[in-house]
Amino acid sequence: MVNAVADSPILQVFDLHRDFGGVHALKGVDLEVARGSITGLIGPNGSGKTTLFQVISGMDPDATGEVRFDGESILGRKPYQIYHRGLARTFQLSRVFPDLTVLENLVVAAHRKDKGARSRALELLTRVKLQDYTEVKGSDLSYGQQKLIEFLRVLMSEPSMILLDEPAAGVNPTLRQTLWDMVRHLNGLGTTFVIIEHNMEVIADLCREVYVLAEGEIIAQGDFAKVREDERVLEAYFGKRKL
Amino acid sequence: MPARQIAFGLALVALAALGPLVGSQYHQAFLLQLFMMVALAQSWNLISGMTGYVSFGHAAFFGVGAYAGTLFIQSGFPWWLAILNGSLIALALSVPLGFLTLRLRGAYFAVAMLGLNEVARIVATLWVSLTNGGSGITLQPAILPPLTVNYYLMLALAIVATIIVARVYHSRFGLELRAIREDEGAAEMIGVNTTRGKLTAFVLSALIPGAAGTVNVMYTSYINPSSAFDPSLNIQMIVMAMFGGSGTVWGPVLGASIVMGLREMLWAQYPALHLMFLGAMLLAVVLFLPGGIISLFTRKKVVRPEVMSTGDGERRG
Amino acid sequence: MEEILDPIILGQLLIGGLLAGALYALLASGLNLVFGVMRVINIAHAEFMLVGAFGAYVLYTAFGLHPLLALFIVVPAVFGFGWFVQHALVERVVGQPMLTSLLATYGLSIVLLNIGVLIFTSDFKGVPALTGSLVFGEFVLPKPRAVAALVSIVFAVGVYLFLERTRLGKAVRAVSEHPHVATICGIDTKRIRMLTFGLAGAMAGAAGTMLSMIYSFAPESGADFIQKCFAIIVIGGMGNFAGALYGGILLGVVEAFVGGFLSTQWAEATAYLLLVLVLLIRPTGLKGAALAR
Ligand SMILES: Nc1ncnc2c1ncn2[C@@H]1O[C@H](COP(=O)(O)OP(=O)(O)OP(=O)(O)O)[C@@H](O)[C@H]1O
Ligand SMILES: [Mg+2]
Repeated sequence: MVNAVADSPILQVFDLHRDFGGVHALKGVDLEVARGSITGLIGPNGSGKTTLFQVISGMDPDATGEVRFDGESILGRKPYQIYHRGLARTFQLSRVFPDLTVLENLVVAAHRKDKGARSRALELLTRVKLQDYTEVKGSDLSYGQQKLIEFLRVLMSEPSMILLDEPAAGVNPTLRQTLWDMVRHLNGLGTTFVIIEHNMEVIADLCREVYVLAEGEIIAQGDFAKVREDERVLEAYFGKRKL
Repeated sequence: MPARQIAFGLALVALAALGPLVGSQYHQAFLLQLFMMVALAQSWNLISGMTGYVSFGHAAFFGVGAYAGTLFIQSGFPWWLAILNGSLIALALSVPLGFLTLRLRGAYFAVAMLGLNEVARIVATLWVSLTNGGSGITLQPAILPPLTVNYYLMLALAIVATIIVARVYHSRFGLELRAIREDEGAAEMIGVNTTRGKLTAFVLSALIPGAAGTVNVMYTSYINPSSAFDPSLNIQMIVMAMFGGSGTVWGPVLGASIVMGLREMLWAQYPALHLMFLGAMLLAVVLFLPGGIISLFTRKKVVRPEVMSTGDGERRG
Repeated sequence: MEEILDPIILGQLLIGGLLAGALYALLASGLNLVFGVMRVINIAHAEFMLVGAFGAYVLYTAFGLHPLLALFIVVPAVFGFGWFVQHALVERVVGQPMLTSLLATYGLSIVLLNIGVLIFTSDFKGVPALTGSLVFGEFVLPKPRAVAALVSIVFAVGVYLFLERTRLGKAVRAVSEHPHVATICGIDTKRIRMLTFGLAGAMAGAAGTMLSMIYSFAPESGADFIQKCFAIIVIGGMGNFAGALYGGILLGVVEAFVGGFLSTQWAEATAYLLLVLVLLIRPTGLKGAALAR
């Protein structure tokens, strides 16, 4: 790794705009993610969180602004290029390959030259106790298992940064715990995470830094304890204090 | 590739190689056609079965290759060079076409391929100085190899096509293609260069039809626009691949054998009825047995261990 | 060359192109309607048109019924046929990968085509019910073409207004634009899809009835027309109803000029060349419309 400055931000987003024919999903988003952190991204439904991930990961080429990963501009790059640079993401609704086996689902996500892909896939599966599922087709898994496999899948490339879009939604409590444990474990090894999550306890527990998105704008950022007291955040979540 | 399958393949090849020794002229002619259809169905399988991008115009590569080969033979080149030429010209057509249509998602590729064969036929008809137009070109039998040679050539093409499919299927590249077929966006998101993958598969899939076109002319010694760009060839290769099982190694071999056998026994005299049945077979397979006949044999019992407590009840519908 | 640059000849080519284009527009907008609503490309669409054409032919030869009157029988019949096909076949492949629906409708087109050959043989047929021409100064409008174009425009505009103005039409558009939202809002999407396919069939049937008056046709004629339709929907934007109307007119005119300047055989290849050209310069269609995912 040629990280000039170890404590420079790994991801920087400047003035990001995305317009869906009238719907302004992102209105000038600025964001900075510290290397090695777990950053939370919260906000009401439809506030633009998934859209932000789509843009950062290269799936949505029609945004304007600037996205820097490891100091290099990545806006306009293809998703596969971004992935091979070490930035991976998962989908809000699981997208495992239904007709590929669990093992194939993982192996296909490794770098091409990676000779140890198979053994690492088995190792990952063992870690979440899915080692007996290697030959099961993606479509035969439960939804929760699919989401977990999708998470393991992006680990195959050993990315330096992972964007997780509601990884625990639809996953049962046991698997959920496994998932968060792995996130912590990987973070301990240096992987940076940005997590979209509606469960505030999880956010409070995991994240040092939190960004709050509402109607396409970052309305608050910082320590979760501080953010949750913010007037604008309460308003965004609960309306004009009608609750 | 599993050893059992290799053994099975070798046995088939050995059997086929005996053809000219034991079979009559009629049998050889039939098997030659069968090999041709295996080669074509496998080629279709390589792009459509593997990536899910449907090619309705693969016969165009067959026809273009046939003309390229014929013109080479006519100008006195040896037939093996003509076959090579047929293959290369088909490749030269596939590159720009693939580049144009495969960068895009969705149905553009299908839409562009459906018309290709017909346009190629029109061009072949109008380009009289090169193709002699609708009257076609007859090659002197004297300069063509005998039936037995053509038989082995077609057999070789069927084998090569099947080997390509098998190699691709069991490779990392094949895995990427199948991921594209399942969910192209997700594939791209986990590092698959989808455009390059699709284009490579497509170009590979054009090679064999180009060669097969040339060998077919060497066998029939005649070519004209409607024999080279016969739309029913498209139907046949698609039905055979789908009926046997697309996206698999042996499906197209099985499908070609069954459909050709049925044709020979039942429908050879009734072209319209024959095609109608092919259409109906395609419909039936797509709707009721998407994995093709081969899925009846290979369908594994769902190996879903129930012992683990990881299941969380809800299933995807 | 001078002769061909004569404004009268150019005008005549333009008129011919516009008249043919109106028919194409009607045909292709039906295809686009189906694609928009259920992301299915109906490869058998041109065979639906031929069902209409042969229907008109039978009614004319057996009962002497004029194609303009035959419309009242043929159009509802093909509507019903479309409804049934959606119910029995296409409904099963909606929401499945593109490969599935493409191959299913391809299979259907082969079946229909060859049933046509079995019943009517491959000989060309025609319905010479209307003859003569309207003459405006220097310009000549063959009556059957003029009538066919007029009927096509009326039909296409009628369906367009139906989609824009009526409750049911708005439901169709809702399913097209936001299928999930439409379900949540209590729209019976299955019914809407059957209606859509029936409607597309009716449009194809009307186009076929009109076609029977101006062209000779055989069961195999569908291939030409589906190719034209594809070029049109790529030009106009896939799934964009109005885009197909413009695209149809454009193709008609370009074909007419290619036919006039080169030869009618090249005119047959025009649709394809236009399609390739559009993919080259503006891959998602000239009227930047919803792109198929
Ligand atoms: N492809 C699209 N076309 C049109 N509008 C879109 C598209 N994708 C997102 N939007 C709109 O952009 C806005 C932001 O959507 P987004 O999915 O980013 O929200 P979100 O914060 O992830 O919400 P949730 O918590 O429900 O997942 C919404 O109004 C949505 O309707
Ligand atoms: Mg979201």
